[in-house]
Amino acid sequence: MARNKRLGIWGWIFGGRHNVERFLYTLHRITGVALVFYLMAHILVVGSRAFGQEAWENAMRLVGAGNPVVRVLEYLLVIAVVFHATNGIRLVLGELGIGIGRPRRPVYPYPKDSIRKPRKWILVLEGLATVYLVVAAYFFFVRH
Amino acid sequence: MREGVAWALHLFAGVILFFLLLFHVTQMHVALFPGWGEAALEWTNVLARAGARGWKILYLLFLAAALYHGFFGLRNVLIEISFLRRRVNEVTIVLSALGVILFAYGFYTTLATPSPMPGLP
Amino acid sequence: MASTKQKALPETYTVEVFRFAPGEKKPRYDRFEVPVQHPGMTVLEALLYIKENLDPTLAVRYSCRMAVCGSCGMYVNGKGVLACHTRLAEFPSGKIRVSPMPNYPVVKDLMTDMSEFFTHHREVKPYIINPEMRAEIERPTREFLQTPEEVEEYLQFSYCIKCGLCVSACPTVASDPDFLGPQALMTVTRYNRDTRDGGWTYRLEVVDRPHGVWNCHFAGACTEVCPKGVDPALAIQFLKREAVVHGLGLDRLPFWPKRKQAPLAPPPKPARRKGIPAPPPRTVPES
Ligand code: HEM
Ligand code: SF4
Ligand code: FES
Repeated sequence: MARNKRLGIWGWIFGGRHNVERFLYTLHRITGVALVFYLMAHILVVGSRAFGQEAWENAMRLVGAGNPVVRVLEYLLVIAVVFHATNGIRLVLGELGIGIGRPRRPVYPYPKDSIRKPRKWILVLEGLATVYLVVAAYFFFVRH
Repeated sequence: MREGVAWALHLFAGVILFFLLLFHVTQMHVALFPGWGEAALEWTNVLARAGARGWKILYLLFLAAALYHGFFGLRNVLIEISFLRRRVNEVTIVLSALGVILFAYGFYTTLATPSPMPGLP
Repeated sequence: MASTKQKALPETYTVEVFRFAPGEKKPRYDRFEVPVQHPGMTVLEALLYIKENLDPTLAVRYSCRMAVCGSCGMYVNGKGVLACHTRLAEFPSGKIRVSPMPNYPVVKDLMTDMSEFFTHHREVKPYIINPEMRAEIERPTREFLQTPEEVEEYLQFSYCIKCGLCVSACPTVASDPDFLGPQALMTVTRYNRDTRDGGWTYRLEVVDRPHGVWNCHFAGACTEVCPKGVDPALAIQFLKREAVVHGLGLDRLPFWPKRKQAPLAPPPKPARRKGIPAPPPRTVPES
């Protein structure tokens, strides 16, 4: 009878015009899940080293180490790692109630402390992430 | 295990990973020191790390933290999807089994490496 | 409006309204031209203008039209707002698109079915429970004493009007109907921080399970949309810390600070002051 308007996983991204943190939630998810799949493959590939030099070098050839396209993919992976790590630190602090403020009277304009206060962390952490990624890009593509 | 304790471990593993993973990524891709960057994948360097006790301990900690953090996180994502939300136990069992298998394989890789190079600790 | 020097606002607004009636296959958006009747005209007034003059079949739920009853939560141009608390002047383009809150079943047009929301709300026992003071809570004889600081600890969270906007904005709710949701979780902190309450272990255990507090990942959308400034995300992150402490059993350690129980006020003085006559005899039996 009534129409179900639940958005499903699309609601993680297309839920309305909301704050940045809600988009970071989705980005954190995407990078986290991608890293899990990478980790599984990584454990299997690195496992080749237990079988000696030849197995290791074959595995490295198989995954295309040194190939420019693979290098770009690896750089994308590093972006995911650095984002997930820096955003993760914000989440660890925030989710344990550190640095997000205290209850206040909701006098207009509303304080919204729990999202306003950590915004400067986002700037600092993602700023550091950007610096790291620029340095990494130099080593990835110029001086490898 | 209580859900909250498992979650606290997830965060704790995340903090450990923050240091280990960023170090690992830097060592593997940013050639700040000899043997880092591209060179880290050369067999002599791989063998040197594989033979040293310090590296073994570090890699085992890294492996456990990453697998636990990753699979608990994946479980959280999966049980929030509507058609899996009433399948919490099944999702947990399948992912734990996968995690244990991968840990066993990684454990084997870490310990069963060729004997250390002469002259290394 | 604070400033009187403002760009002239449009004289009519184009209002696109989500329409759906039970039995229909697909929803649609209907477009109406609404003349601005006064500078402070709200979205709710525009909808009521439509209902009175253009299309009487439009279903919209409202009651207080002053942001205290929580009936009129809806999305205007993709943002969760109370229709009665949002002026047309906030949209100088002259065009608005009104839709019901996402993540609830739509009963008709802008009206959503809130029963799941209140089920989750009830699940956390949103009232003072105190087994030790049961008689006093049920038939109060005196007041509980709280310092102003103790009141500040939960006051912000008690301004909630159960409009449901935070739940509709939450990304976890979007895919997980069983998730308790920001409003219920915030309410746990509201009661657990109240020194009159003794039901905190019950509530901490209700939220310490799958689809409980751990499925909040601090997206903060609840805080962003809350029309009463309640800051549910703040309350929920505090709740996580408390639930971790309780789950690890730290709060059972001897040196862990004990929860404070609000004391009862001293009994009122029985003697009446001189010169005040006794009350007349009761005319109804004591209940
Ligand atoms: C580099 C250090 C890392 C930090 C600081 C970190 C931190 C976090 C934090 C704080 C959360 C959110 C927990 C919550 O909201 O309940 C999280 C979720 C997650 N992490 Fe990590 N993490 C890191 C590395 C990794 C790695 C290496 C993987 C993959 C193996 C991973 C996979 C995940 C997944 C799948 C989630 C769940 C995402 C979600 O619930 O939305 N993380 N991480
Ligand atoms: S917390 Fe705010 S947004 Fe959520 S139901 Fe209460 S008043 Fe509405
Ligand atoms: S009509 Fe009561 S809150 Fe809008």
